[in-house]
Amino acid sequence: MEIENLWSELKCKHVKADTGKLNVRKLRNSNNPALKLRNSIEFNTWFGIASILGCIYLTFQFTSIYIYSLMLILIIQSGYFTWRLYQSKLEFEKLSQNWDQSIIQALQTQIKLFKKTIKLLELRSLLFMPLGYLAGLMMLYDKNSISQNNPVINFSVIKSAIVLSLITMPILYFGLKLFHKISFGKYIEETEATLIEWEDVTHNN
Amino acid sequence: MTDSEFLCLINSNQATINYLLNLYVQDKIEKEDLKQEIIYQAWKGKDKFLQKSSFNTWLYKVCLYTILTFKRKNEKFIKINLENADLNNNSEELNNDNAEQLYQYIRGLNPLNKTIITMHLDGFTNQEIAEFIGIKTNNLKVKLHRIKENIKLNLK
Repeated sequence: MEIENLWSELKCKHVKADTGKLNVRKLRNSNNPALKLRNSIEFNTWFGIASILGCIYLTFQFTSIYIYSLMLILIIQSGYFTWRLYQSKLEFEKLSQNWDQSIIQALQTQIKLFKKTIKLLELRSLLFMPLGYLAGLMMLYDKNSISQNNPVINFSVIKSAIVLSLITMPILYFGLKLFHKISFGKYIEETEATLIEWEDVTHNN
Repeated sequence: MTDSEFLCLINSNQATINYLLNLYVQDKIEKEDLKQEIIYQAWKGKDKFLQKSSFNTWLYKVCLYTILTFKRKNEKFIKINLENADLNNNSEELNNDNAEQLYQYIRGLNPLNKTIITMHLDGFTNQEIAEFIGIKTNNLKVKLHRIKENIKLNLK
């Protein structure tokens, strides 16, 4: 018996003509890792933009040069990471639309993008927090105590910010790493295993 | 292509999407998610359909591409134990059994082998398959030959 004949027979059986109405719905609670990461990038990009606007607003509320400087650093930092995340989003979109490239290339690019984006999100949380704490604490103090006329830095503020950072940063950073591992770890592992297998075919024979 | 033309084409070619999803995905929820994703990706890229091939062929590749890049689980389909299959003398039933066994066997293959044999059986040329996967045509021929030999061996 020919495999091809058997295949055409069973296709007639398994490929049922769908005459029903096409049901298209928005994916709200998809567990697909690629979609979850895409949603995470979207959220973090908007969060970044909101942070920048928030920092700009706060800059005008205080007169201290230290707070200005901190806000400027936060704006630059937030701007940089937001821009990088936006670039990741564009690269993911480009990848999903580029059907001219082979599957092996697509999977390789996808894994690289996944790892790069996850590292970006983790690094941002690591760098943002200490400066965010310092700025927040400085703003909580009476603005007369830290002003342009009194340029002496309040070391107790800096000390409090460092202590807060040391306590919460590891929890946040490693918590985020764990969350990423649970959400994306298996998918990355399986895709890498598939790639190794597919690349063996390319190099062997 | 207008949106309504596109939706008409997708509607009339839903069978291709469902057929490939049944072959590659077992989980019902993942099937549903992937179907939506395929339609979404096809809609976003509808202007890239240059009519060099039929819409069905274009959609076939979009489906495979989306399934292979978005698939969440590496599922193990239940493989039929072909050696112990109860084969009777009725040739028509024998053929039906073999057809079903062939389908289940192909479903149980890993994604690479499944893609190669499915595209081959669905009429794609070796060059098209090799380009789609990203391997050399010679490597593909050898791989395809081995897969077919294994299938013949298992179905005898």
